[in-house]
Amino acid sequence: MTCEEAIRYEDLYLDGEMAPEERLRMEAHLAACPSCRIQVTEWIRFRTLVRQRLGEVRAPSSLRESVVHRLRTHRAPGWRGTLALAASLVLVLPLGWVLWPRPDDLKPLEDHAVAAHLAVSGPEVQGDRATVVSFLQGRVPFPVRIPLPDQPGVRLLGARIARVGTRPAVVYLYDASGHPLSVTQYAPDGEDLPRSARIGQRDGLTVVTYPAEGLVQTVVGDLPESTVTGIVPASWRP
Amino acid sequence: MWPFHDADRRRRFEREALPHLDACYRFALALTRDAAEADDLVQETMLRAFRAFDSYTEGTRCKAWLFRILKNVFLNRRRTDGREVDLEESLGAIQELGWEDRPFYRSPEDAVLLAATRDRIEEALGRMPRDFREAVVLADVEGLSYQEIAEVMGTPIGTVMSRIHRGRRMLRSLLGESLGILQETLQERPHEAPNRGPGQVIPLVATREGRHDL
Repeated sequence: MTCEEAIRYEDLYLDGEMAPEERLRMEAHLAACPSCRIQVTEWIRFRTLVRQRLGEVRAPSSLRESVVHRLRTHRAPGWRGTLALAASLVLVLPLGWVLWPRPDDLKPLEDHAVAAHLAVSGPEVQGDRATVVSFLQGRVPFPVRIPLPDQPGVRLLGARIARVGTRPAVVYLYDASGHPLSVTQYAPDGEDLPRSARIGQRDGLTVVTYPAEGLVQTVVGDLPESTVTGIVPASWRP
Repeated sequence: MWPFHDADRRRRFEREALPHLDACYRFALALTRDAAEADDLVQETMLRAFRAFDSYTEGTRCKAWLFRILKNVFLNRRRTDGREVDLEESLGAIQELGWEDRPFYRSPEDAVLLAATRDRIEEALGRMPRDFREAVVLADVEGLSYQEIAEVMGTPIGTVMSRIHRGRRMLRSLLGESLGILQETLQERPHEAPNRGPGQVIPLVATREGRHDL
């Protein structure tokens, strides 16, 4: 290798981008030529200097905190999914849903449903309706009824057994066009059986509770009220 | 996504991507030269990366993947506000600085350069056209391979090589100037590289993966 070649290749050498045999030729030349060796050494020191000085720049702590906060409060995937879902559903909103008062005796039960929705634990059983039904049969003291019918944009992910207060319950987990949607289902005592559906907001989540075939179901999701009520099967609407 | 999906993905993201936050900020600063804009750019990049994290292939370098997203966010913003600087302008800037008229390939006195502070280096980088600054920062500060830099910059590897080559020498000369080292004293050094005309790239060479320049 000549001095001219060595100078031409010095960047590749510095960046570790030379083919192995070229690198050996380069190093043989550097060993034999003090002038080139000094020049390459200077570049190595210069590169190290730039890396050390600029590499000490850190993101401001406010930026780090903001990024971490936004990641932890981030909810995927936003409006497009919501609109697609809303468009795929026939939105029928019976008058009673809006006008039904919110009796306070249902509040603790809905609290449980919201807590179950927010729980990070995954489903005990994952899979389609048949898999979920066969898992739940005999494990809960009430008839197993998958709460939501098949519909575009709404997919059953699985279920887990839970408690609402002292009552055994099942939490069904759905994916509604990318949004998590849960249905907590339990057999009521009698006094807390709502006469009709009711709808409300809790911590930015839409909560809809309605009676269905002797069970109480609370649907929780971060979707608009109109979308959530649209997901609930028409036959179970009051 | 469900909380348990999100929680799992978030943990993975925090483990793999978040350690590169400082590097992202440095790259954003190199692109924008503005702390507030860099801050903004990094926030948007991290959120986009988090949303797209399912498409990130494990085993590839997460830093290079984040840089590609950051560069896209940066370019989209520049295009939106009409501030995009293209290569032609960069070359114009080189001529304006008089780069083509002086032997900027020579290195100023090493011992003096080593005393350069971070502020001095940043100031010198700030005087360079963005494409050259970007190439030098990605190679020298962040240690990306030529292939990774080519992907971030959206240019062929040959262009990356020529920008690194010229960029390094620009930086070294500007730094030398700012430290009061006279260019004339350098011209007498051995191995003076020939002055290359505008747009000329460094010659064809075999590289690590057997690929060739341009």
